[in-house]
Amino acid sequence: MDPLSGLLQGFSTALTLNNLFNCFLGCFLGTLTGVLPGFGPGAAVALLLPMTLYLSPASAIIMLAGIYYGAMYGGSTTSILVNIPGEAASVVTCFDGYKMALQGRAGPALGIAAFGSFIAGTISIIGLMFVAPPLARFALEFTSTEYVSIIFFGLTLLCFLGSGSKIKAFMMAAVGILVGVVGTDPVVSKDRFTFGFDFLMDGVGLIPVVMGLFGISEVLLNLEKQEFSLFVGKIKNLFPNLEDWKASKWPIIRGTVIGFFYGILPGGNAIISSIISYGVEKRVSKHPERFGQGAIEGVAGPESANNATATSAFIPLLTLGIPTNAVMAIVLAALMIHEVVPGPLLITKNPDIFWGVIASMYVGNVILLALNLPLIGIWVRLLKIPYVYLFSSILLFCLIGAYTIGNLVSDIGVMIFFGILGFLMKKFDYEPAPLVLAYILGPLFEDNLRRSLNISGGNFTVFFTRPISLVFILLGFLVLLLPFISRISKNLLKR
Amino acid sequence: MRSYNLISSLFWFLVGLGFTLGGLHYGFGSWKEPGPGLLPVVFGTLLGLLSVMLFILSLKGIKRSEGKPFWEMKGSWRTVLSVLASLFLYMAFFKQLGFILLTFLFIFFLLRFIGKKGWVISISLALVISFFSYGLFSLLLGTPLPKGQLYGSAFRASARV
Repeated sequence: MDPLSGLLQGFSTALTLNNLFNCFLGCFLGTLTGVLPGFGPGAAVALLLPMTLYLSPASAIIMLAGIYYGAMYGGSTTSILVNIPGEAASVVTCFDGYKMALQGRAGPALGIAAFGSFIAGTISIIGLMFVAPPLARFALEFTSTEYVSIIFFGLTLLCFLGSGSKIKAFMMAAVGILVGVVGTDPVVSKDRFTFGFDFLMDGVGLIPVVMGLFGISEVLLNLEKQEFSLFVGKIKNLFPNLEDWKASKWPIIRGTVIGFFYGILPGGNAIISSIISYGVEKRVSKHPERFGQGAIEGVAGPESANNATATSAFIPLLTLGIPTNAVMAIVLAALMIHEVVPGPLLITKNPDIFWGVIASMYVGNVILLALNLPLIGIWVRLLKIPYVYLFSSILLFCLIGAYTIGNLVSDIGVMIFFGILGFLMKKFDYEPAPLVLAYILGPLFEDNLRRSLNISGGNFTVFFTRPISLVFILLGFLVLLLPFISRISKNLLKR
Repeated sequence: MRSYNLISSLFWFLVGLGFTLGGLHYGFGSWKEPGPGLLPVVFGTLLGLLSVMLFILSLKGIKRSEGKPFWEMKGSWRTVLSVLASLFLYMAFFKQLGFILLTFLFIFFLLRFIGKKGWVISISLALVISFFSYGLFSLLLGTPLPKGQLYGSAFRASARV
């Protein structure tokens, strides 16, 4: 199917009243998630996952996708107005956005963030539309050997791209794989690490894990923080003037390109792409000293980048069945609940899902522009709600959500366990992202590894003799060795 | 303060060791026919080795962890632990007390004692939220939420009439 007729078919899915509502609901909740600090898209998507049981697979993904890219729009609002990032991918927006607000230019800052997001989101969807189908066709030839190499590469890159200590990131990836091992062995049906608990036989549930790590632990951490006081002046002139546009034009385009490619990379997420975009803008600027003092480029670039990433992250998921970040992992789970197997065959087997989601993204970006510009006042007022109401509802929603997945009280227990673990990990400076992703990819990795070893008769050279596999293995080792290489080259330069 | 890294690396070392031993017990298999223990052994060992690395680097002071106190504010442990306790109690009494009563108590506790809201507002909001969420999830979405042993029988009796 060529992209144009595919897209037409997609719009016939996305523009039904039902799916328009789901798209709107996703965008609305996403913006809410973005605006509210201490509550990120990972938690929001996990919370809403039980609700998607009642929807068709296409509608479910349309809604979850809306939450993800919607959160990227909303995240800038609090960064600009109160200097607190609504979610992690908007941290860098604080630097210049808040300064602009202090100078009475909150309006143009919010405006350029929304327009930049819209432009980047839309361009990124076009990219998704043209890149995904050929990639899927290419991936049809992948065997389990290639999948092992890709996952290996993905996990190393994920750990390398993380913000904190690399050793700790690799440790968390190992823990994630080990958590994924719990349950009945897929090949010889032997119980592993279940300790006699029946509820562990099917493995540790994804939803309780994610809700615990991203929902419960966030609440526990925020309980310790003082409530921030909100000061918001009058917001006027949401439309950036000609000068603002001139300054922002290239940052938006550069941000889009950076964000798009980072989204495709395994482990690349919106947080990193926004940071990189900010760095690039500062470097190419003729007046880098203006950055941090209210430069509009510092808002336009990163906000475009995080939106482009939120869209292109769907490419590896929908073509290879490999999620590149925690949110995509939950979307993967939503597909699997509906017995849709994401992978190279998805586009041909379930065109309604693939093209429906793409078409809904065009619709969603328009909805978000409307939600974020004229209605900005409503979101700002939301910030004045005391935190106790917010966290009480989040906790209740988590409790109900964890239970509804399988009507098991034990899932609530698993969620609380991972909530405590996430809380402690944060206190001890460990990142949860590598754990979650490795835990999701673990079973996929094990299955493919054992199968390819079986086929090759225990011969490891298959990973090196098949060209595509070799490329990914080499890339993976390159990433592993990169810290050492840079240290050695630095030492050489010193001499 | 290095103790954060030292303590946590010891903990993860034990986790790694546990999975390695468990994996050996389940059977590593051979490379040709890998058994259920393959992944636990490989990644348990990896975790153990990395923990040792972190331990040594922290001991030498190369890998520093921030020297902040564990609790961010004085007395904030009380808030965090009481919320945790309320979560555990919610789970423990989920089947016995039934959704509505339990949710009422849970929300009331959070609003009144954690959020320090007034009695009237806490009680009325807890009532609204418990009935509203029951209506949304059980009646509208059809999730079978427990009615509780107390009035579970009363419901059944009334249904029979």
